[in-house]
Amino acid sequence: MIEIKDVSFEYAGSEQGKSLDHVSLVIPKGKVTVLCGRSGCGKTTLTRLINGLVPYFYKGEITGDILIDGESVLEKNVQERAGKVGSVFQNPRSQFFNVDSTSELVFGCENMQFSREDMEERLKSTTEVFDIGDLINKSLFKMSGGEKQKIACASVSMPDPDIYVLDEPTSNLDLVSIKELAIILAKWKSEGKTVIVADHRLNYLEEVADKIVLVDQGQIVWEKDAKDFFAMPDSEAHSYGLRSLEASVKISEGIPENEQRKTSSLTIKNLDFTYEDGSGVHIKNLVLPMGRIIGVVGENGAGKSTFVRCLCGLQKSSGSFYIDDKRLSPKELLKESYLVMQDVNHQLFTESVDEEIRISIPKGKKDTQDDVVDSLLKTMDLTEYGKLHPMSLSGGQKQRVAVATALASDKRILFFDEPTSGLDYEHMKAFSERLKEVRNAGTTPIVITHDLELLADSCDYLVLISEGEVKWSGKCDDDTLRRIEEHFENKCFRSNKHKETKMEKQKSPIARVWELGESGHKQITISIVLAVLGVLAGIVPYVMASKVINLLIAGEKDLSLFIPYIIAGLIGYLLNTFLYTGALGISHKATFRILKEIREKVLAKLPKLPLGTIMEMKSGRLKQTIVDQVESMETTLAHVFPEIVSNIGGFLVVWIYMFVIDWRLALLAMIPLPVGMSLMFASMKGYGENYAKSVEITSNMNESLIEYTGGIEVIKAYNQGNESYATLKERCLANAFFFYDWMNRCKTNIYAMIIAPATMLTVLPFGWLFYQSGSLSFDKFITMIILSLCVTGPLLAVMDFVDTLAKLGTVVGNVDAILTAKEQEHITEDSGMVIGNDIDLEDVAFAYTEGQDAVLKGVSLHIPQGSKTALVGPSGSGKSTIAKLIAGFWDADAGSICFGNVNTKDIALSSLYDKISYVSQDNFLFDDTILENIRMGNLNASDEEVIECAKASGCDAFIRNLENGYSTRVGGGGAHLSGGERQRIAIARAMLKDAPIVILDEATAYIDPENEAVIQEAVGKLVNGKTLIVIAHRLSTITDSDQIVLVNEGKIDAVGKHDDLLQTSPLYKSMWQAHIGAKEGHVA
Amino acid sequence: MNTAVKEESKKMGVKDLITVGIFTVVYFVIFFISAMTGMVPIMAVFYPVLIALLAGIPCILFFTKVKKFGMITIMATLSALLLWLMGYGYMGIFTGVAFGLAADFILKSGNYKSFLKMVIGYVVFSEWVIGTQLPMFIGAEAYAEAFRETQGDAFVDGLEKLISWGMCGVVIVATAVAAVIGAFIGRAVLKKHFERAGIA
Amino acid sequence: MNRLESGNEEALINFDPRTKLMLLLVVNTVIISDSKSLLISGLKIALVILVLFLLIDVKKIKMSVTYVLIYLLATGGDYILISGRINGMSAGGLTLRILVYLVVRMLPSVMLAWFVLHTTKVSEFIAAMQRMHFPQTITIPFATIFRFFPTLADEYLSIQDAMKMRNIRFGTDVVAGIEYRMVPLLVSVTKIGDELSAAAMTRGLTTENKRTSYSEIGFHLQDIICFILMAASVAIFVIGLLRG
Repeated sequence: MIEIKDVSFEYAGSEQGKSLDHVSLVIPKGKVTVLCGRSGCGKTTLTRLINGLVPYFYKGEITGDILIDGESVLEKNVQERAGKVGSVFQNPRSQFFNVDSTSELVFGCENMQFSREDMEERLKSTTEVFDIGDLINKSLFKMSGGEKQKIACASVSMPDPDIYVLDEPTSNLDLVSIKELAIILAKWKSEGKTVIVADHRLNYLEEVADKIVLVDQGQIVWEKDAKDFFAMPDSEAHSYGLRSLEASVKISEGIPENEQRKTSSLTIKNLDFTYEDGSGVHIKNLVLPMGRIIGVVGENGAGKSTFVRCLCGLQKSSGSFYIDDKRLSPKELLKESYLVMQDVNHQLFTESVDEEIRISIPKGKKDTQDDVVDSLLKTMDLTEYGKLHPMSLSGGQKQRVAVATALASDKRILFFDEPTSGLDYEHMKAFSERLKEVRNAGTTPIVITHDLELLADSCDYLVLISEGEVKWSGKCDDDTLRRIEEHFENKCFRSNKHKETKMEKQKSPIARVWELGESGHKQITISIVLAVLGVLAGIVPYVMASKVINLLIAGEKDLSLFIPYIIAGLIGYLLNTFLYTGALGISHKATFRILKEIREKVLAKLPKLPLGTIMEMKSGRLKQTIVDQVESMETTLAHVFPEIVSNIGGFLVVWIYMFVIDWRLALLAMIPLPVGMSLMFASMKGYGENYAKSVEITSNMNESLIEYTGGIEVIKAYNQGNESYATLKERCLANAFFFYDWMNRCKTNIYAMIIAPATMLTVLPFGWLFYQSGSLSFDKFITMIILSLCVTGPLLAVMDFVDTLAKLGTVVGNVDAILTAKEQEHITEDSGMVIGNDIDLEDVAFAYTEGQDAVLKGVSLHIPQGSKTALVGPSGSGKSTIAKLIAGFWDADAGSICFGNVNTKDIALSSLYDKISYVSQDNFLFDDTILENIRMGNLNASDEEVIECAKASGCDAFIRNLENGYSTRVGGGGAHLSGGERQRIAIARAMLKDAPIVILDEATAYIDPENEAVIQEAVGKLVNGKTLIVIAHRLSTITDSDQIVLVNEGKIDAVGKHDDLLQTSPLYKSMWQAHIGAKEGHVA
Repeated sequence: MNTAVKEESKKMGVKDLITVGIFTVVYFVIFFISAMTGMVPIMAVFYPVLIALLAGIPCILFFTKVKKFGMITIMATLSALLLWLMGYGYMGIFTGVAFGLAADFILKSGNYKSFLKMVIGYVVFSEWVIGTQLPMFIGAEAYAEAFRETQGDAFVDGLEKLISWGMCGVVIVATAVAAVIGAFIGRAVLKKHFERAGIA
Repeated sequence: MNRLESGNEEALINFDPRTKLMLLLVVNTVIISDSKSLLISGLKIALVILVLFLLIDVKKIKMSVTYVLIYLLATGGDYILISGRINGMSAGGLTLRILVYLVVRMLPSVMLAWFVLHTTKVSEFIAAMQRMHFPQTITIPFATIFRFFPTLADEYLSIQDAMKMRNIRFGTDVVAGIEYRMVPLLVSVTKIGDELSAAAMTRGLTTENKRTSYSEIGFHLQDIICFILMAASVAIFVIGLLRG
């Protein structure tokens, strides 16, 4: 427990008066207490009072007392409190003392004289608790904001303090990282720690906070229970200067009146910029309206900043930029744009605000500059500060000065980087008003922000950037904001799901191929033997040639003496050719056999994979792996075994022969080898990675190629030819450039190829020396020269293989990824057991990737036959996963799913699929007629039955209106039809299937109101008398369910009917209220 | 209970040490950039002058933050240590400690407030850089003598004149003059910016 | 400045930071000396080769090849100069002379410094300094320095961007160019320093208490061998000096 007793404090040299004015407050142990209030209200000072920075670092006059667990700590300085109180600050830039994460983590412990063993132990457990295994031993300067804040929290908890104080921890974080922070807070709370958070953003604290304290002008206004507080309407919160409490933001006003005005536009084409580490931005076409407020959102590290740096010309990039039709170079862009940085300090450097504005005015306007300065000071509300030093102003005022300088220099585009981080409601509002003024004055403001409230309040147009690409752009309205919220929620969910554990070290590719190609072993062995013999035979001509030359030098004129040597040489040569061809022939045959086997294995594996896994793989990639990549192994594989073995063998034999003739020269001949090798390794560094990247880039190209050709109908229909073609072209170019660049970088390799086998470099001069000194006979010298020539061939060949092996590694890795993927375990033939329709889940646990966070953590559920069960819960709670497990898309990791009394693992997959119709929001239509598409539900159905179902599902009318009625072909993916129409076809398909269990996975989530009635009716017919499982966001559609299952964080929170749940489950209640609220919002 | 403004302790605190570290980085960067000009022959001898001129702004700002004895010594010592790590020879470490200490004494005598003492302190402090050049001056004679036979006396004398103890004296004086100018620039910027911005 | 950031190049043989510092001390002293004694020349060659081995130890093959080539070229240049084949007073001769002088006397030290900085983590340095009983008044600023190089670079780049947007270039007005860069830089650096101090104090950093260390440092066989080699070098060096 922390007791603050009548504390007053005034910062030394402060002009604002007391920062704390007779504050008394009790902070309960083991609870999360939130301090909120306007900027400068004193909440930060309160946090500093607890960790001792006030008055020991920030000096000033203090009265009163502060007690921790009944003991006064006022006399204890910051360091003495460090073991008890851990502090996390706003700015990750300045809270780290070290360069790498591990040092930072142990830093506190080192200061507090923990022993090495204790530190080791704490480090281990902290790494586990915070799930930061992948961040250990990394440079802090290369981390994203969210990662840094995670490390900050983890470092603070290393010495295991009892109290945690966080001062505006979220101001630099995106929504995903904020969610993770909330999880950390909950962890601390569950360990019984006392947590104090001072922050402007509050909604993330809803689930974890216990007590809320409002501070204003250094005094405590009220303390509230978290429950009561979060029930407060936003308008009341705003009156206290607080940000909105609702998790979801809403547009507060109508679309701006100038919406209709035609404006010019800013177009970005083929922007492509990549950093060394592979991140960057790739935008093929983006059109932004000028004269509107444009919001740019995206998670930390999504590429927003890079995008903006390219757009305002600070970063040279490959893209082309146009304002209307005029193309602008980066230099011209820079003239048109101004970026107000997050840290405005960087861009103010003169001695007064006046001067700051004055130097920005273009040369031509010098005569009127005083008027310009005055009017700008007025617009920006700075008149009284004109003579002050810009750096002495507050953050908001500095921001205004920066805007004024931008306006003074006639910039047309104004960028803002996180302008509202750490601002309270009123300041945020004020900023948003200023944005509108700027816009109305004819400048285009572009705002990069995590602050959805600001977006909702001011933006006209939104751009969502994720993983370096524009995911979405368009008008800013409620729907858009929902989409963005959803994006972040999915991101959060996925970042948990896809954090891949480091792969085990791959086996040597050759060994793995050898394993895979069992059937070719014998042939390969034969071919190796032949190849070795061939190489040996290949040496014979050289040896014979040296004999002949020696004879010539000796002046031998009797031709008959030469003949045996020449014949032996010829025979050797022929043998060599013959054996080598033979070896290769055999090995090619063996290779094809091996490849066939690999492909068969992969194909045999596919049906065993969970349906979900296959759906996640893109077909382009799958095809590339099975067909192209496996094919590409052929040459390598056919050559690798015989050639590597025989060449190394051949090299050794020749070298030993040389050694016997003259050991000194033999050794000397080898000198260029290590030199060349080291060059070789230098250029080979990263070969494997490069190759992997090349495969990746080629895959990308293939994907868009398939997409382009596959979707050509849609492209033409919607006249999107240029844009789609641009993607394709871009990827083809990327492909070409990558290879060009790579080849360029491999030049050193060529030097290596020249130097390494240059045995003559040493053999010639030294041989000459030895010959001169008489220690080497001339004929031996000649023989050595010739032998040193024939030692190079095998060497070059071996070096050649180093790179092909890297290729092999990538391909084998891809193939292995499929071969070792987790299979579904089901019997293949039904055992004849009677399979009931009651569904029972018992203790089901499931994770999408092995070793990762479980999505479901022990779910038990009974779904009786013929009932209607609704699965509800927040996004990412696991409700969809439950449905997919029931449908057999994946197998549960633990626990059981039973139909009747039969475990699904004892049911053949085909029978399982027969039992269930699964209708989701996106439904694939085959490139076939509508009739056939519906018939997919039951291939044995007659045309009449199909039409019957179409009628029942409300499709008949629109189908008959189509050009060819039921025989109309729907294109790839069914692009001709509207969402509602496709949905109805999917329902008709399900109806035709007539399975006893129907799962609707958000099937009506995105349907417009007109279609909704029709679809609801169709659904009503479909589910008549069936067991129905519905997953829905819109709670109003499921109030009549027999049971509503509330899923939260992978567990079942509550089960019951609508009215019961409203009574018993606070979570359900809040969701219901949010839903009803949202509905009302839509109406208004 | 009433506690007045906490007394400043006489010993250096964490904040003082971190301040030293930060300004050492700034100083080191200026040092390094100036020493780079040593690629031009004449600057290899005169770079201390350039440093004294350029480092005036950060150093005067730093001096206003110095309230404890020893901060300048640490800064000079650490700069010298870093340069030694970069291959600049170890003699600078001795001059660093010596001139740093001297500057510390001078500032202390002015109670860390007198600007005059700051100027003198900065001049003395700036002279430590000569230590990094000492090996060159010490070795110059031996190096030049090696050429006497082949290049003739004129050459050797010219070389010895450029890298001579006399020249060393010229560098010392020039550095002092530059340091005075640097200090005044530093003070101008301090008045114009840092004081008004509230960071000094 | 990136290289001062945090070195953890993978080395085949790892040395204790103290060993590396001693290596630096000995190599710097010997290489920079101007003695013409044959013994010392031999020692210099041995040390140049030692540095080469250290570079190979961190698998910087390209770098070591370049290092040897440049050193050999410079020695060749030195030979040509001394032999008097070029006029030492000509512009070319003078340039050559300075280059040769710099390379022969500094290159091995610089390469060794590079090796030390790149193979030693800041935390190892600090641990070593603590073991050698350096006071906190040295180690804290020392650690801050390494922490601050990248920050300074970041800040400078941001300011550079701001300058570009305001169309202020170095060329037009050198004094203003320096002032406009230095002022925001020093302001933000000072502010970061304050925040950093506060954060470090809440983590328990003091000037009085002894700290423990997580980094495992200690002398092993390779360090002992290195010490013996260095002791021998020092002995040879002294004998060489005495003999003149």
